[in-house]
Amino acid sequence: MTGPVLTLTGVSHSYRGRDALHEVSVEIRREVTALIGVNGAGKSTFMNVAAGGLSPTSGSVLVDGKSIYGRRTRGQALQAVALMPQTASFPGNMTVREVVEYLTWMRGARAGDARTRAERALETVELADRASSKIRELSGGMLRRVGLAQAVVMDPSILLLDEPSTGLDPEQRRIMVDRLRELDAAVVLSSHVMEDVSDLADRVLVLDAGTIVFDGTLPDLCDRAPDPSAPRAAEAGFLAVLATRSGVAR
Amino acid sequence: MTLPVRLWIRRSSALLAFPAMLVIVFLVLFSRSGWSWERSQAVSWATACTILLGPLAAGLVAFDVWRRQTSTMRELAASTRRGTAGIFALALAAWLLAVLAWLSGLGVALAMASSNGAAGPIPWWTIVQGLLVMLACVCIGALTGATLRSVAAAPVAAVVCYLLPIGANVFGLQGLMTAGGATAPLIGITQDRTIAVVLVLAAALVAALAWAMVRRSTAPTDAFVSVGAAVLGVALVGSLVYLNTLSPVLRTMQPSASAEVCVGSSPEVCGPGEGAALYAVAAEDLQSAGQLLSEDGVPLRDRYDYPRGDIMIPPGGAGMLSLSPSEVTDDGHLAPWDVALTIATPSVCAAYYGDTPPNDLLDAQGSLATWIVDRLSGEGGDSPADADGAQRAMEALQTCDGGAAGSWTYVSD
Repeated sequence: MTGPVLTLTGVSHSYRGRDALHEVSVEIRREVTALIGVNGAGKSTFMNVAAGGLSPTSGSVLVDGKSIYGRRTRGQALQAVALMPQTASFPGNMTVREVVEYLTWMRGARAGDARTRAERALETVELADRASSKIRELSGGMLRRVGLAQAVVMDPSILLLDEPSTGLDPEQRRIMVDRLRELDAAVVLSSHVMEDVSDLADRVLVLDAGTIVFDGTLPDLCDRAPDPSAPRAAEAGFLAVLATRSGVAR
Repeated sequence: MTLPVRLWIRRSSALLAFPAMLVIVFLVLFSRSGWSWERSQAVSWATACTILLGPLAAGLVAFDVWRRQTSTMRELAASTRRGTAGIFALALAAWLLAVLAWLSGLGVALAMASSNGAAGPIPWWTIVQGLLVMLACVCIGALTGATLRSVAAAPVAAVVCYLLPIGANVFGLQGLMTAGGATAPLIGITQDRTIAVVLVLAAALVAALAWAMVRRSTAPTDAFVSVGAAVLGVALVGSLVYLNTLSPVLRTMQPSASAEVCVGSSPEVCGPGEGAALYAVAAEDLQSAGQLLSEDGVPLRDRYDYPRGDIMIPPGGAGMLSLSPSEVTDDGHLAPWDVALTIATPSVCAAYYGDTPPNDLLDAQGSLATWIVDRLSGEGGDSPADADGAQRAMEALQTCDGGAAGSWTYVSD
């Protein structure tokens, strides 16, 4: 396996005096890493800090060895990372193509290149036929795919997906999972949906109260369950980890 | 930057408001007449609309930043390489549309001025001020939208931009965040260069400071941006303090350095070059008036001069040209009262500058001017008695010409 694509070292972030992330240190490699935790565990904060959108109170975030909050290295680091936010609210009066093209430009593409990349990304998420539709005409699931399209458009080294399958029907979830399997990037997948974790994750991180309390594979997590061979062993293992709160369990 | 700007031009509220911008521009432009005889005033008056366009554009940008920068877009703006540049593109799109509306009015104003034969240089400083004042307004709009994040951002931004120049006046900073708007002729006068440079600099600093604060509020920034914003703030305060300490004399309009031109021969009408189109009208009307009045024994002077600066003393023997461009008729004639006042005003009369008003002279001037107006309009004043009275009044006024100076003198207060 290659070296880490994303490295968080001693990262803390506080909201109004409360630590949303506390001394998080983790290395993300070119594999699918699931980040799971209950609401308020710090998953979205982790994703935003890792994506370069939220300065940590302390600690460092490196993407491909470059600090994402360093003045000289930020541009290059941001080019290599892409966030698909938890929400998918885009300007309703824009077309799908315009939104993806605009965000492609925001990600650093030249104007001439943005259109081509946007078209390709829309094909990837099977939305090419809706490219001219206004955002307000799309269903929630389609909006999630617009969110995915803008994230993959620059072929990032690391893709941060915050609850990517929320609100998707089974068919749309299938499209999402298929596309994620095809990606040649490190993926961090924050999810409540254990099915996503089971289908995609090579590695699982459990976040609780801003701290990583489990770092292992899916079978490792299942082993924490009272009955590791039960159909919902991963979920049971997750709950067991939270119950013990025993720190990093690898 | 062209891609997002083009996109925001298509999808911003400013495009929907563009017709309203045009209405404002042309309503303001044609709310007053007389500016089309001189390029400086044409540009200045066509720029007056920026005092309304700026706040409108600020409100639209604030609305768009709030409405279009959804929670997802905000997250992405913070975590993409050109995130905040996208917000700037939105502000720039509104600015471009406002500038386009303004330039439409400016183009019409200059075309009308050309058709009148208006002369003089185009006051580029006024145009630069207009561009920067509106840029500062859209940046204030972006800042308001990014920080308030509610529909109230739009009216707040518009009101802030509208009140800034008014508030500036209170603190002795006349001209800050305004451009153009001259309601009187600018023939022979110009803005002091130091004042113009400081006002342009201040508007640029307001824009840059507002933008730095937008950056701080929309994306993680390092000390460089914070220090940069602080430096801009200090520079802005410094420029305002400097502006405030400049002499009040500098803040009034200064005499222009344009070459003098003379038009016509009997009489000759002279003045700063930018008023040439009006001198031609005046020379023709004064010549006609002279032919008529000479029959009544009321002679005209050989030359009339338009003042340069605030208070002027024309060369020996020349009369003072009175001009009201807004009263010039559609078929190109001075208002009869201007012709009368030009003829009836003594060149230099020390009594006019004394402590007590020279009532006898003022009465003579008034009755002579009234007689001239009546005579020119053919509505009376043609009896021998009236003509005698006019002659006597003229003689009385001319005896007061003795102190005429030999050259132009600018008198500051």
